[in-house]
Amino acid sequence: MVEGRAIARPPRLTRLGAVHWGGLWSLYAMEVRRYFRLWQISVAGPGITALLYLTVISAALGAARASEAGAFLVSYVGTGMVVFTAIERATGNLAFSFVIAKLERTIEELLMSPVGPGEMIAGYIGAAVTGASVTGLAVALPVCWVLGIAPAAPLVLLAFIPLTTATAGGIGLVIGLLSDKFDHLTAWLTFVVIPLTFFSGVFAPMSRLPEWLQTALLVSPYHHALEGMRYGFFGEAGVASGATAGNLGLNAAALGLWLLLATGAGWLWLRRGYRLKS
Amino acid sequence: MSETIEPLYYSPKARRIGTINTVGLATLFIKETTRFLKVATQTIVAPVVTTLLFYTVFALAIGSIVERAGDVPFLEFLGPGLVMMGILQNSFANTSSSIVIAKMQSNIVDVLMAPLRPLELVVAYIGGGLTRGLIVGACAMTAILIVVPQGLHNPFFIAYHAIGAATLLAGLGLITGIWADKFDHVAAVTNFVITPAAFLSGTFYTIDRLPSFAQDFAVVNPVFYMIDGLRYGFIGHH
Repeated sequence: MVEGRAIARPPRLTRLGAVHWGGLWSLYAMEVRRYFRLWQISVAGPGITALLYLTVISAALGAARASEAGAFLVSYVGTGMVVFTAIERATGNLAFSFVIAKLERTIEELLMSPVGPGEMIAGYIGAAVTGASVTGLAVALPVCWVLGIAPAAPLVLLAFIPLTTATAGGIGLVIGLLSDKFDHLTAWLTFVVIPLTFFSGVFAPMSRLPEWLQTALLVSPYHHALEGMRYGFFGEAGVASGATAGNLGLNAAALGLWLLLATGAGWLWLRRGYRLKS
Repeated sequence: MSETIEPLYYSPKARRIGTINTVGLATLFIKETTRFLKVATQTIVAPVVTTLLFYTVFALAIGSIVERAGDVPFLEFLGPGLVMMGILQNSFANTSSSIVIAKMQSNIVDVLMAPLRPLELVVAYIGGGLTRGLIVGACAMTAILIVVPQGLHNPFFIAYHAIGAATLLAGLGLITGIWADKFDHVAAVTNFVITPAAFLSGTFYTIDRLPSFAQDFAVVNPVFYMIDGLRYGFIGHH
C-alpha cells in the first residue's frame, strides 16, 4: 500500500495592511506586562512616595494645617503628587525601556520586526498611557481619601489623563532615544524633567515664582498638565481658590502640541534609526 | 674567561600579610571610592541638585505659611535636614549598588577570592559608602550655605553625626546588598525603608508635630537622632 504523503504547501504570506495590528498589539502587550510585572516599583513605590510627600508637607505645616492657606497647600500638593507620579512613571518607564533595549541589544529585534515607527510609537506610548494611568489612579485613591475630596469634574480628568500620560510618554520616548546609557537617562530625569515638573506647580502655585520664571514656564507641558488635572479635581472651586487658572482649551492645546512634537521627533528618529542604526 | 655566568633567577617571594592586609584593604577602598567618583555627575552632582531642588520647592510651598519651626526660621531648620537626607540616601546607595552590581556581573567572585578577611571587606565597603555620603553631605551643605548663609554652631556635632549617619547607612546598604538577589530588591528596600526613614524622622518638621505613637517610635529611630544632632550642630537648636 502506498501511503500518500501530504504535499507541503508553501507558507502563506501574511498580508500586512497599512497598520500591522498584530505587531502593534504585541508591542503594547509586552510593554504593559513588563510594566506591571514590577508592580512594586511601578505602582506601589510611587504610591508610597507620593503619600510620604503629602505626610511630610502636612506635618511640616503643623498647626497651620487648619488655616486656609494650609488646607489649600495640602490639597494642592496631594493632587500635584498624583499628576507628578503619573508623569514620572510614563516618562521614566518608556525611557528605561529604550535604554535597556539598547544596552541588551534587544533593540535589534525591535528594529528587525515588521513594525514601522508608527506602530512602535503607538505601542510604546499606549503602554505608557495604560501603565501610568493605573499608577496615577493607585495614588489618587488614597490621596482623595485622605484629603476627603472627590473629583469635581471627572470628565475633564478622564480627558486629561490620557493626554498627560501620552505626552509624558512621548517625552520619555525622546529621552530614551537620546540616551545611550543609564547615566544619560538619570541625568535627563534628575536635571531636566523632575525640576521642570516641580517648578511647574506640583508643590506650590507658579504664582510664587518670580515673574520671568512664570512666563518662561508657560511653555512647560507639565504646567498645562497640572492645570488641567487640577481643574478635574477641584472644578470651578479650584479656579476660585487659585489652584488652577482653568483655561482648559489652552492646556489641552499645549499638551497636544508637545505630544505632536515628541511623537514627531520620535517617529522621524525611529524611521531614520537615529542612534539606533549606523 | 671560562667562568660560567650564573643566570639570575627571580623567584617571587610569597607576600607576607600581617594582621591586616593593608594593601588589599586600601585597594578595595580605592576601588569603591573611584567607582563613584568616576560618575560624579550622577553620584554627587545629582544629589546636590536634588537637595537644592527640594529646598527651593519646600521654601516656596511652606515657607510662606510657616515662618518658624520650633524656635528657628523654617529655612534654617530645613537645611540640615536635607543635608542629612542626602547623606543617608547616598551612603546607602553606594554600598548596596556596589554589591548587587558585582553579584549580577559576577565580579563578586574576585572580591571573595581576594585574601581579605570579612572585617577588612566590611571596613573597605563601609569606608567607600562613608566617603560618598560625606562628600555629598559636604557639597550639599556648601550649596545650602551659599543660598542661606548661616553660621555653624558646633562643627564637632556636625562631623560626629554626619560620619555616624553615613557609616550606619553604608552598613545597612552592605546588608541589603548581600541579601538582595536582584536590583529590584534594593530598589524595594530603598523605596519602602530608606526613603520613608529619611522623610519621616524629623527632616522637615519638629518631631512633636507627629501623633504620640510616632513620637514614641522616634525614641528608637537612629535616623531621628542623627538628623537631630546634625541640626543642633548647624543651628544650635533641635
